[in-house]
Amino acid sequence: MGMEGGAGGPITGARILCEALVREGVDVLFGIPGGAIMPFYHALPEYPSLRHVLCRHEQGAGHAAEGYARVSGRVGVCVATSGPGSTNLVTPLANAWMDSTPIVAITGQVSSAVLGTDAFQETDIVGITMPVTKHSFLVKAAADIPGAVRAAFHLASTGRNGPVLIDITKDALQARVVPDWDKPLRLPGYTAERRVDDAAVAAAARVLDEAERPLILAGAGVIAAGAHAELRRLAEHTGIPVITTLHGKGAFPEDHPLSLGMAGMHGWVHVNRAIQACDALLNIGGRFDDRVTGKAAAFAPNARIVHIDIDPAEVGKVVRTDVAVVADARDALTALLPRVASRDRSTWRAHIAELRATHEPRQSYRVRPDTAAMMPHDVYAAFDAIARRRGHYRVITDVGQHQMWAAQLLEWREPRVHITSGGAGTMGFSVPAALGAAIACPDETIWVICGDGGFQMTNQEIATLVQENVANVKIAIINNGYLGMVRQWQQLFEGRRYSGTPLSAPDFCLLAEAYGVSAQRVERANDIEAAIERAWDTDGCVVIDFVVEREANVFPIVPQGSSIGEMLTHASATDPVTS
Amino acid sequence: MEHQEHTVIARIADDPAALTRVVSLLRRRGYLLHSMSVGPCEGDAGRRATFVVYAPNARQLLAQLDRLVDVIDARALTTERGLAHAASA
Repeated sequence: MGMEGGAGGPITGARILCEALVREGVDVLFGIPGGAIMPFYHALPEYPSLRHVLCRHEQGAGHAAEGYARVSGRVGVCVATSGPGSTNLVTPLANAWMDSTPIVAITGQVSSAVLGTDAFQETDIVGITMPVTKHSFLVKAAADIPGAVRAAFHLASTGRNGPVLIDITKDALQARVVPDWDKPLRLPGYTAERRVDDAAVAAAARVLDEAERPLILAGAGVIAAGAHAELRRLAEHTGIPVITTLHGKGAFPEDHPLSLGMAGMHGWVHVNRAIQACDALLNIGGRFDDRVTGKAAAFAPNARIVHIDIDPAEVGKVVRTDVAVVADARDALTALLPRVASRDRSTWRAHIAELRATHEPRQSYRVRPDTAAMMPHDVYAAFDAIARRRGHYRVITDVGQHQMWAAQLLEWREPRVHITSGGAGTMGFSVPAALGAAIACPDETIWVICGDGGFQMTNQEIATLVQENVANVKIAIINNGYLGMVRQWQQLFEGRRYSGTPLSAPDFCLLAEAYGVSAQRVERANDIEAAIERAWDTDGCVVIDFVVEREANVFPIVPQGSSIGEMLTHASATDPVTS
Repeated sequence: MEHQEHTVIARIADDPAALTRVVSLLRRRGYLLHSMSVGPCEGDAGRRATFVVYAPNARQLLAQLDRLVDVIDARALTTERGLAHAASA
């Protein structure tokens, strides 16, 4: 690997790509090599500041890039070859698209001479990923690499963040040119910055000032914009209570007296009741996902709705909006704060406290069912106590029941601690995302909480953790032998017809040990605490197989398509609690 | 929500993928493309796409188009025929 050309001389497209990534501040890439991307891997050793993490599946590489991005706020990068290498990235791209996560995916493509001829491992990955990327580039000339990389990182990390794909033909990686690093970025169809509209802010302040029963709904946009301090100031200044979405967890400390908890399908009864009763709702950086709104037409029927969102396409998409502030959440809150009045909202808050007191005893999620089996709730209670004492941790959850219990039963106080797959609901997200998070935060303990179903989708990335000497990932499997959330729906809504949900598994402890990490099975509630403490203290990755009650359920639950006022709070309820 | 007819005039990037991005967006949002013509822009870079599409409202349609990096600008005329169509629906 001789130094080609020297300073200012022509270099290969592959080296230009490496140099461009260094210029973007990239320090780690998650990927798998293959034919079309080989020239890039040939150049990579010449750039020691680019750490390459060899994943076991491209889906894992993509989720690792997401995990890295979500905990750090920086752009995550994944690399794959053409054909199946690139198509395996489709799920993480879709996941990043739904959750507005800044990642850049680099894929090799067959040489431009055979492009369009169904060449070996040729797949139109730009065409395939159009609906799930913010933008994509097909680069067929080495000279175009600097501009494409610059634009990709700019697009991924500005405005509403999202995934960007750069597909580069093999001959573009092999050709030698003198790179031009000074070409100005030209994206005439793209608006990165949106100025806060003064009139909209004034209108928003008026709605809040006039409201007797206002609520703030905090979404992922608060965290993406780093606006949690501004949100807290706004809530404390106005006395308006705060509810969050799933991705808003950590935007507002849940131990704060103004924090009410999570809204939506698995939100608390008093939160959903408050939404239905409020006369003004300030949604900051949430997109009114159907898991939040339930039946959209019946959502917050008495409220004037103020929506702060960086993406104009989110305004009025699902829920009617009275005032829209299209801007970065921090910019918008900074503008709003001095214009909105401090008011006494104690009557409204007392009303919500009363709702909470009335409904909480009826909510079986708080009450440990009287059973000999170990309940998932026991695991969460122990984890929450230990985590609170120890600090310096993140939690990556997968998708399903364990994910909702983690959101409900653990207390979230800081941004970027709770990481999950929200919009896409991608089972298998957690283990590879934890790999990325662990590399971004080497001094923290990265906990995976996943189900036995999701764990079996991507656990091969434990081999990557071992190869990379990553020691700070601890995996807690909430193992109930079912695809639990689907089973729960079948129990509640389909007469217990457990079709396709009973799930066998290998011995997770033996599997973990085969990968070379330590493991423990926990079957009694009394053993939970010691297992978590031991895992936390272990210098190395750990798998804990928590074998829990098989048919525990997540409550409350709003049946799909129902108003969020109609919640089931326990399995035997024949009459939903209606508002 | 009822769909009504909109005529959109968009300037799109000179890129083989640009038109696909526009049409793909219309398909996945469930907007029926009625007719379309694409030609060169006078003076400026890019191409002019003029199309008639059924969509719930012009604001959301334009906001979605605006998210596409390859759409340089777009405006919509809600035609009288469109309004008449919506009224009779």
